[in-house]
Amino acid sequence: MKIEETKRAFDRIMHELGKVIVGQDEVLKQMTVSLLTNSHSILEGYPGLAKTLAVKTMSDLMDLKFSRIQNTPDLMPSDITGTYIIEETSSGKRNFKFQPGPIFANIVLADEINRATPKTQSALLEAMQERQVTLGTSTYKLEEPFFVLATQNPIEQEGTYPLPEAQSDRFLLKIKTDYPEFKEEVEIVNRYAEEVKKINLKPILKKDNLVYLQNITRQVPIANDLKKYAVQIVGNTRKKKDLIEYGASPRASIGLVLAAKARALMEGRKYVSKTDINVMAYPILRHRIILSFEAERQNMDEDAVIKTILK
Amino acid sequence: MAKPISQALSELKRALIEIHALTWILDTLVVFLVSELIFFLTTLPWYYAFIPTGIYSIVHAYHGRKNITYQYVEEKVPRLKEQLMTAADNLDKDYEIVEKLNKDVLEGMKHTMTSYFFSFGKLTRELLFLFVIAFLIIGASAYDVRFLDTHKAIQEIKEFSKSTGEYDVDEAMLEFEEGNPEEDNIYGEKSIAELGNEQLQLELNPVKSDADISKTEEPEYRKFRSTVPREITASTDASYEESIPKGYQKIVKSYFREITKEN
Repeated sequence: MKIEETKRAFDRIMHELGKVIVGQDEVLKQMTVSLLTNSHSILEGYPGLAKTLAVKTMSDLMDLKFSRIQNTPDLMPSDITGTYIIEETSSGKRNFKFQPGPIFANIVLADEINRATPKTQSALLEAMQERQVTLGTSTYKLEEPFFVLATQNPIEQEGTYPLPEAQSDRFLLKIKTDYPEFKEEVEIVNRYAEEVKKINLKPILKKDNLVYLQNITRQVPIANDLKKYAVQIVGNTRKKKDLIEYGASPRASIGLVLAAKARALMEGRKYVSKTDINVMAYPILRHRIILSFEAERQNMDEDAVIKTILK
Repeated sequence: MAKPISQALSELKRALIEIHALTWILDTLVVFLVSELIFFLTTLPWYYAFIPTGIYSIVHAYHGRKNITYQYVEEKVPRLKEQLMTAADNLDKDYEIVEKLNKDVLEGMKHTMTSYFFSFGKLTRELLFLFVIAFLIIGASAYDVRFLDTHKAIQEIKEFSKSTGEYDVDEAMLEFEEGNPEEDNIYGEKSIAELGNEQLQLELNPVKSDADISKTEEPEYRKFRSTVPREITASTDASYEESIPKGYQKIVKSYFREITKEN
């Protein structure tokens, strides 16, 4: 694949995704950013907004190994990482054999991650960070590329275990899914309330292509002033004490520049623009800041506060 | 060998410096001529015009630095927006995508003309203004037009401030005189001016004077009485001529008034 072809490839991905998902363009773009930056994302939105379908469709478009973990309170870490099972050989000898869990895939959909217990969440998040799984004395490397696309819904908090801030920081992006527009909803009804057609999706990106794009993403040049601008935005989250109690870490600065590069590549540009940084600041920062009482008193959410920082 | 993009960026920078220098010279010239005209009309030395010109040129050069940046080029050439700066900041990188960006920037620079950085309207206005100012200076010199004699004005101000400072009015004396101005005047007739140590220089214009030198006569000699009548003694007047301390002037005056009453 050549650089000139990248824009065409992304346009095709968006086109194929559009066959299944109506609207949610920005969500799909941000998911693609996550893939290009070789990072994990968390999708947050109300039930029925096609979060799971979006991740599943995305995996269908990549020629990659996909697995799904449906998180529940009784899910154990070994259900994710895998475990040793006793295997009997033909000679009757019994050995322990490692049975890999669903984490051993290229794209992992961790559905309703906040329903798993902290212990299970930790096992998943450790694998995400280290990109390896350790069982007993053995360590198993996870295959590259490796993404976790987790979902959670902001309501029904009964019986859930919200991710601690330190752990949610492992996700590069927090992608918010909103309700569709009226026209889009009518289209959804037309598409799914009548005859159910089997939509055949063709894999567009192969593993090698994706790895190439990930390398190219890091090489997208950025002006020094824009780098400083990105760092300044993240730094301002730590300075705006009236609205933000705890700001974002330098990991957010790295993520913001990287995400801006990925967005530029998706837009077919060979350079990062200020708009890329401004657009990506929302999904990068919204799960990394803790609002102050004053912000809550003013009925401001994370996005509203980020908007004031970008002004 | 330097990369083509490096060479192109160096050339661009040089062109920007040249354009900035030209603008600087023109603007400074305008300020110099305007100052020159003002100083001429106010009869101040012409070389004083270098002071505001120097200040303006320094300020102009300082603020004009921002016009020698890639941001300025990007503002003027939207085609290169955010690309030029990125290319300039990533000259040391030789990734495929950077090379392609450099190629795009070079292509964009080919279509960039120097005229993008000139404001022809401003340039025309400035040249026209210079032309008008130059003519005004020549006209004012030829007809010796002056709106204000600054030297004279300064001198007058100086003299005024000096003379006002020398007045030392004795408030008590003033009150006394205001009480009965005619009767209490101890210095005699008001119309007589006293010069003191000051010299009065009078210059008569022989043309405008009413005196006709041709009609003057020989001086007439008169003989006055050499002695003063006895009844008019100068003993009291002499006391006036003495330097009476200010504090005693009132007492002396009262004394003489009382003597007059007795007579």
